Amino acid sequence: MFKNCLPLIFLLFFSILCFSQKTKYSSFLISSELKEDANAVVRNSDIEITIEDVDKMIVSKTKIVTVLNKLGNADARISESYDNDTKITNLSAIIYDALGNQIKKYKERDFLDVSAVSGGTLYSDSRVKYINYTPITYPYTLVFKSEYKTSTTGFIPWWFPVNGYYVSVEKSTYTLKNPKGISWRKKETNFTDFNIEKNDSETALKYVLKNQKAYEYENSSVSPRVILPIVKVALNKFYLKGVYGEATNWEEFGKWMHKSLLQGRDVIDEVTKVKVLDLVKDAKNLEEKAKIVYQFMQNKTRYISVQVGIGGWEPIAARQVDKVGYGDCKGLTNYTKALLDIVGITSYYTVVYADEKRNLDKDFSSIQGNHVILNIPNKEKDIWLECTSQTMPFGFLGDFTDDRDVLVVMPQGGVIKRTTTYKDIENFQKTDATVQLKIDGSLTSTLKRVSKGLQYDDKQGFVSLTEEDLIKRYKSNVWSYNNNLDVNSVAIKNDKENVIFTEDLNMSIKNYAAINQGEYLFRVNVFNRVVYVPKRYRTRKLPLKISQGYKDIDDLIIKIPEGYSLSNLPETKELSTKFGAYKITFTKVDETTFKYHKIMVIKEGVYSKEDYKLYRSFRRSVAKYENLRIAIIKK
Amino acid sequence: MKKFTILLLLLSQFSLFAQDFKFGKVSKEELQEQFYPLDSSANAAYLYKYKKVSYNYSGEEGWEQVTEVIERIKIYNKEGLNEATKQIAYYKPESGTNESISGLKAITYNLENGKITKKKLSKKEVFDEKRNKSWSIKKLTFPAVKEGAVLELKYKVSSPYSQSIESVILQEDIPVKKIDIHIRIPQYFVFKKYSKGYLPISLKETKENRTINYSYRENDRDITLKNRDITLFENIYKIEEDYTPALKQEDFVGNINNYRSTFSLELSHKKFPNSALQPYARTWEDVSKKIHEYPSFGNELNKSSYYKNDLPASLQTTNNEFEKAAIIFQFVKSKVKWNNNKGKYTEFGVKKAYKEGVGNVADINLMLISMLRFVGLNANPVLVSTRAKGVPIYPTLEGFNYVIAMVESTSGNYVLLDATEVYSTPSILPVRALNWNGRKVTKDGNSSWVKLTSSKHALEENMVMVKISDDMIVEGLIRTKYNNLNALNYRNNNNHVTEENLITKLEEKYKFEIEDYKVANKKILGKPIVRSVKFISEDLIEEINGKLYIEPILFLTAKTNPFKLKERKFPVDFTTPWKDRNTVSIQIPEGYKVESLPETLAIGLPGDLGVFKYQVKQVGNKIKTISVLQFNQAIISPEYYSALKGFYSELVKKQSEKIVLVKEKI
Repeated sequence: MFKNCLPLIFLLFFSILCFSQKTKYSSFLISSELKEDANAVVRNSDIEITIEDVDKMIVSKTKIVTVLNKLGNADARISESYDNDTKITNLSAIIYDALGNQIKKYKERDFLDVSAVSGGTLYSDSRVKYINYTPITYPYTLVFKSEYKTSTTGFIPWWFPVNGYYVSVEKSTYTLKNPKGISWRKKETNFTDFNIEKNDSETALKYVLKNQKAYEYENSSVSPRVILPIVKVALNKFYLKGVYGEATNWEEFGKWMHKSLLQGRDVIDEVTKVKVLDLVKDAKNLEEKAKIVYQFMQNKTRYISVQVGIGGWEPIAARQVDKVGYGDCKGLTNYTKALLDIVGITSYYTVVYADEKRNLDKDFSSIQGNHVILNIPNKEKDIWLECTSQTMPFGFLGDFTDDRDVLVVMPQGGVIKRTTTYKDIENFQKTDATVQLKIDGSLTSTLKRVSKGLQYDDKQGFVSLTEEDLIKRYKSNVWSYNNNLDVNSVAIKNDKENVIFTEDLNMSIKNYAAINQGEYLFRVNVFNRVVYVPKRYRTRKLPLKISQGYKDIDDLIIKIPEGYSLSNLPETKELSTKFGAYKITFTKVDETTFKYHKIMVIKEGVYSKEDYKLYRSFRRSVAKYENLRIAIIKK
Repeated sequence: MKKFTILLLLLSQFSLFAQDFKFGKVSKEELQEQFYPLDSSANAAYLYKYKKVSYNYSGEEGWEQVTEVIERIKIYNKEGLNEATKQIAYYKPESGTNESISGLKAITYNLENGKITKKKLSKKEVFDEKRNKSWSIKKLTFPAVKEGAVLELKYKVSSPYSQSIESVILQEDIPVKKIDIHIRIPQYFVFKKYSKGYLPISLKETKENRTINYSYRENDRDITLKNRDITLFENIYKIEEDYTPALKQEDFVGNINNYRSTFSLELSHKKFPNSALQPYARTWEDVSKKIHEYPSFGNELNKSSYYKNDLPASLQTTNNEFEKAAIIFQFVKSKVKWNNNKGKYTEFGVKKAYKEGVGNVADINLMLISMLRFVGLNANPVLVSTRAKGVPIYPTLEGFNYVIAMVESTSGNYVLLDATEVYSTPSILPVRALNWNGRKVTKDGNSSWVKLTSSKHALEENMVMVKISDDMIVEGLIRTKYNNLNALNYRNNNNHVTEENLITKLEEKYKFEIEDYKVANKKILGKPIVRSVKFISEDLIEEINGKLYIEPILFLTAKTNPFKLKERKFPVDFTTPWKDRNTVSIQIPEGYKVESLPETLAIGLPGDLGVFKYQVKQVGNKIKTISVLQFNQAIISPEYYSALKGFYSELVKKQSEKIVLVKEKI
């Protein structure tokens, strides 16, 4: 009798434990509010960072996520990355079913270990360990634990408790331990509308967010960074892949960057020096000189990215780029800077977030950015150079790095500046065409199209296409709505000097008009049909953002076929809104000719969520007018 | 006259010899060349591509396969710079012998002020990346590459895996001026040859003698090896091609590599002196048999203990073979989920896959076949090569990477089943498996070809009924039916998406506003998907000079011809035969009458490949339109391309013709 007692108690205890484990991961406990619009629910995301020293950090993460459906799998990725100075010290994953029963367990050795070199990079030391879990039922719950040790404290993981759309958060915790009290800074953004508790001391920091509903994605809106909470943290003294650093603001950060990563890497061999000096000897001013140097660099180099260790942050030496003729953004920018030094032009290495328009946080210095460009201070207007492109015009950035806050690294310290902006009407496209309609319903046309600003950017790539591919582009892409379009001849001109792109085409379109018992119907807008209508939202929740403004003017001279007469031309259509304006007018030239004139302007900007409906109705009206057809009648 | 011929011959010889393709002998002419002579659109070209495969022998190591590669690449312009980066993958498993790369050299040649400059790649600029457990990659990029540069690459791969020779690719994505392939195989390895692609291949075969110092044991008890010189012959394959055009990607092509010019050798058997002949898989019959004998294939089919008590009771309710098959098919799908891994062999084994509910293709479908057989059905595996893998050119174990199930009834009908796809139905396979023919393997290891493409058309049927209000607003209903492959694709793409998102997607597609939305049979796989939508649109009627113009099938009108290229070298691959049928009924608004209607049209493609029928007619106060587009073959060969393009262009033109309504005179 006694014999059995202990195991029984043990068993009881065990089963209670089991039960509590079970309920912990059961999907039934999630409140219905958190399930709304959610593909996954973060049950508890716990990140704990321990800064043991300036060059010693341990990051320990536990992520418990309940995946409600197939789309939620993206929020339950089981992977951890590492490289030469980051060592994974703990890795495990357990899957529970909806009732909270464990159904699968992965230990570290079950993880696949692969190179994480991305497409554009030749080589880097980044690797990733991951598991491809195949869900067998929904919902299921993932408990993913990982821990890594690194000497690099230049990147302390920031806190993004709400990380994406369609995912709700039951609880998210961020703990930072700094037992040595190494001086640090932090910045909290977008806390107001969120339920966040905070605990703060000299040596520790803790945030907890609870019960956050999922956000739904809406198109044409602001970046989630603008609305969701973020905590940014940085040490004033840090270590980055073999290099120590110290900074409390951008000025100091820039000074450090110059001293530790750039200085002394801008030496160039005598042969190239002589060559470059010879090239610029007749140039009159700074701009001319800089342009010659930029073109020299473009012709000599190409973009190849190799990122190993500090090489991810420090440019390869200018001398090396000179020798091998390639480099990544850092190497090519630094090389261009070195070349400009030779001809006596001061320029600065500049750190930027490329592609998606995003500012470096001007109030919070830390290692930021994902790209490097070059800044040349100039009397009227700074010159900015994109050094990774062999084709970009001098001083043109395009939408890759335009209009954003960047860090200009000067020897005396860093400065935040704003890059060139290309506003609305600067992004200009002018189309002039003559259209001859034929009696059989076909047409022939000669067209000239001139593009500037970001509309130049859209088209400059045409230069690299073969004629065959260019014609294919016109047929399948640019004017895909014109079936049976044939390009008889095309000439394009890329005027890099003035950043103007000109296209001259001679085209014909079969079966353009519909002929019906003496009536001849055709769409007047042959070559610039803009029929985009933004998606309808029953209830729009996020603000509207129009990310690129532009202006189009079209002038078409349309000649009708013989035997038909122009009856009454349509009236002028005009729309004017805060998002832009639209106007089309028709003018009779003679009995067989009329003019079609169109102006369309779209204004970049952020508008309220209420405005979305108005914007949509504006674009709907535009789309309708863009399809306008005219009927002419047989004499 | 004779003299002339000789002279001509000499001349042509001369022009061939004028170029020196020896490594390091890049000429000024090559550096000066501005564009590829036969295709000025080429951004880069191979001036020379050399590959030599031979076998080394040493007493200790035995046979080792050595592949020597030389490439000479011309960069014509900046767009061609991509060709200056090279990746060489080699087999390097965590355990077991690996391939090795040696003698890697890369040199860039530029012409500067009329002089040839050379730049060598330094050793530290070659990166070795461990991709995964089995493969590593050497990565390099040429230094100092300018427009007009010529690049030379040379390396050697030594492999202990002497029984397979990598297929020789004869056509690249850029043109190749000269190809020089040289393969020497000792008589002990007997290979069979195969080729594919639309270009002719000029292959020369010869034999030559070779002497080696052969190591052998007199008998099994001997400890020491004996050596003796023996003479054997080698089979030599030489391919020399001049001016091979680039292979260019096109739309609706399936897998472009199916059309790439390629030469392959497949080991048929080994026969060493004093040893018995070792046969390798030879015919498709052999390959199938071999796969069948493999433990993680054949044995897995024989296991049944793990499921036999779980089979659904509903099996008792029917004697119909296909109904039984459908019940088991459904049972497997509910039990085991696919982990996205392909394979003809099981990954976890059927038992474990069943227990844990996850498996690869073979785990799932071999389990399915086993169960089908268990209940007495005539079920067999069908080996498949997926679309991504392409069509194998010779019988090889590697020719298959997928397996599905086939059930044949006593009356001679059959169905194909793939339980990896939750929404698949009997004989409607997922797209990845729809690649030409599969190989059925029976219990005794015999095999035969089975056509994979379904004879059932992928169906889309739309029925639209609308009326036009006084203010030109079109209101109505659309009922859409998807069946067969269309139903599978619909369920796959949409079943997990929220209704709200589906509504907006459809609103965007047809540019109307939805007032009511219903989808039936989302999970009732035996029935077609039926979607009923109530909509309203302001944009369907055009009013010009008091007349109304309406496209007879409204928003269903095909606006563009998908075939825009003038000509085409490859077949058009639709994946499946398909049929779209649209019927639209428009109620004529009060006070209007028909002025004109588009005329009826019926056109077809040769050989009953496809047909388009279109009819608009007035019935009382309604205009009724029927539009049917049907393709009876999944693949349309290139000889019909221009007919197909013309066919589509007529269709687009026809559908854009308007109904014209005029006001009735009062």
